[in-house]
Amino acid sequence: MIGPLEIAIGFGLMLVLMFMGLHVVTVMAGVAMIGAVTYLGTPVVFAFGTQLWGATEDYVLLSIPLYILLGEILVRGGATDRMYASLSDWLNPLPGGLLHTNIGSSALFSAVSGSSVATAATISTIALPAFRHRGYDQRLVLGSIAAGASLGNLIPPGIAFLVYGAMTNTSAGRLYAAGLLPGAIMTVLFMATIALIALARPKLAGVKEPDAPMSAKLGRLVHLLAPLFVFLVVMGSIYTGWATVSESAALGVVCSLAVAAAYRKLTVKMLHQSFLATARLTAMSLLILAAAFYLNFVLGLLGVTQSLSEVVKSIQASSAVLLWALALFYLLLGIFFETLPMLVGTVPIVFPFVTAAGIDPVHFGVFMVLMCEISLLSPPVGMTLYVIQGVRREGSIDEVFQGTWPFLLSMVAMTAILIHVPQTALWLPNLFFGK
Amino acid sequence: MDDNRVWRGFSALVRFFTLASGWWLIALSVVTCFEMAVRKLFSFSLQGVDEVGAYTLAVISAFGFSYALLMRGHTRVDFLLSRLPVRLQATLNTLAMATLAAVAVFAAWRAWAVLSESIEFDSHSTSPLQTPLWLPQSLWFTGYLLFAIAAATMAAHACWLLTRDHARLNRVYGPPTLDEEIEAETGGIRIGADAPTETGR
Repeated sequence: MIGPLEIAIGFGLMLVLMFMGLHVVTVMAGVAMIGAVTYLGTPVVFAFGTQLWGATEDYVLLSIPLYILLGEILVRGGATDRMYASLSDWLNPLPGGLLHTNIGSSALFSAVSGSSVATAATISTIALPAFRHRGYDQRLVLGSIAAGASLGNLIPPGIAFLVYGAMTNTSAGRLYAAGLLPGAIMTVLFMATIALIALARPKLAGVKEPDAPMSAKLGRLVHLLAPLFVFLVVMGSIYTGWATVSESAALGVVCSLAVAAAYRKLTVKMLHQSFLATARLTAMSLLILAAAFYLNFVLGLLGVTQSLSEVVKSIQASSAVLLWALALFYLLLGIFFETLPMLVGTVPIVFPFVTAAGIDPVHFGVFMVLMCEISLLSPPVGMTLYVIQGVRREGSIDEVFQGTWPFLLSMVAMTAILIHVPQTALWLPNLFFGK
Repeated sequence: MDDNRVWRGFSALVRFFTLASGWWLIALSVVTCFEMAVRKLFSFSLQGVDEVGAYTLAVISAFGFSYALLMRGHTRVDFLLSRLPVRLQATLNTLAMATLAAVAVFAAWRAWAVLSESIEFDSHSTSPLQTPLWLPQSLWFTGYLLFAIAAATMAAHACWLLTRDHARLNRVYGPPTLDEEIEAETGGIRIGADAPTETGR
């Protein structure tokens, strides 16, 4: 068993190597090997192959490529832009008008895709032209897109939950159920933020659009139903116990093919583009995940779990204090790190702390994913912010940064809710699957 | 390296495997839905869809590694990197490629050990399918082999460029620029009639 000092050195080394710009997979595999060579000997080093096979030969994780593929097919099938138009019909009357559509459509889109960056890029390309000449404050427009896109992982089915579940042996179905309510609260908080700003400073919220006639609204409603239908089939089949997570994802892929076919966009070329995008995202996630599994394996042999649990017991901090301390830690880390490196880089170390303090793994999973969302939204590194600026091609990135502040504050509020009312995360999974 | 015929052929091979993985996923999804329907309606279960699914993930992710590498997709933290002088950037980019190649080659070697052990002991899965493990594992190993070849070649090219052309080195082996990232995430997506369709470059 190695002590807290060695663990801290290893973790520090990992951060330094990551900042040097080495690939995340290299850093994680490298640090694990250094640990294995120093303390455990060659058999553990040579077990690398077996660990790689074991990490990726996994039916639950097959849902990662399937969910990505489902999202890609829906976007390329033309479901997103139609969804945006239909959603704006219904959300326009709220104070803040079209801004709510950014949140709503991102929430819905990210619910069926899985990538926040893809959501940001797609919604920006649709939304930014729509906002031109409508007198909205640019910063709010940009901030609302970024905020909406960051919902990506919290609303199921997201990849972050699957990765966390695989690393900590937590049920993906439970995690998905747990993310539902916090995701909904987060969406409401974002929309409330917009409404408050619009009421306090009507000048920022643009010109009021005349309401579209009801018949047109109802006619367009079908485009909202298509992605909603896929979402309900996927999540419904999990919650009713009809399907496992991977089966539901397969069901979703078939449904998305049907939606794309209905929009007459189902072509071999479109499918091939979806395949390539899916392969890229899947491989990126799984290579890091495979390295993280090996790191986890080595850390387990090194006795890091016991070592850290003893530290927690000696501190005797309450779970709320521990979670706030971690929130601060992740806030700082999130300034520099993206979702996946942050998740897989810290969970092997942090998870033993958390379980030793008696925090429910499902509760912590939702907390962890929320921290990842904050990292996506926090300047100056959040990828989504740069993606939005990249699609915008005018003005300065500072306007995007300024626009995110109100939404970052509501995320901190969400963190407080989640820490002090664990039931927001635990109520639904216990209801669906029993305690 | 894009003007090199061998390298172009290699890229085409990687692309072929990537597209084949996609079709395989579609086929597997359809079979899964069929299996679910049969199970619900006739309480009759096709054995082994889950097992094949597990092998699928191992194999398609292994093939995906080299595709993501060619697309420069593998995640790096470029917060500090982009703020460094060109010379240092070039050195760190070369170091990143060289260490990644080391990991990839080591992984391929250990993957080979897993495969050759399965062949030697004629290992079968303990499920009703009793799959001979060399079958999925040889495809899986092929993915790692391609990944190792790609990473080693690119690392060698990066070293070669380090002595000649730092700007080009950073362009080819640095983290993707923002435009490239957006293009990769949204490539081929055409949205709305009046929306700008050129998101990249």
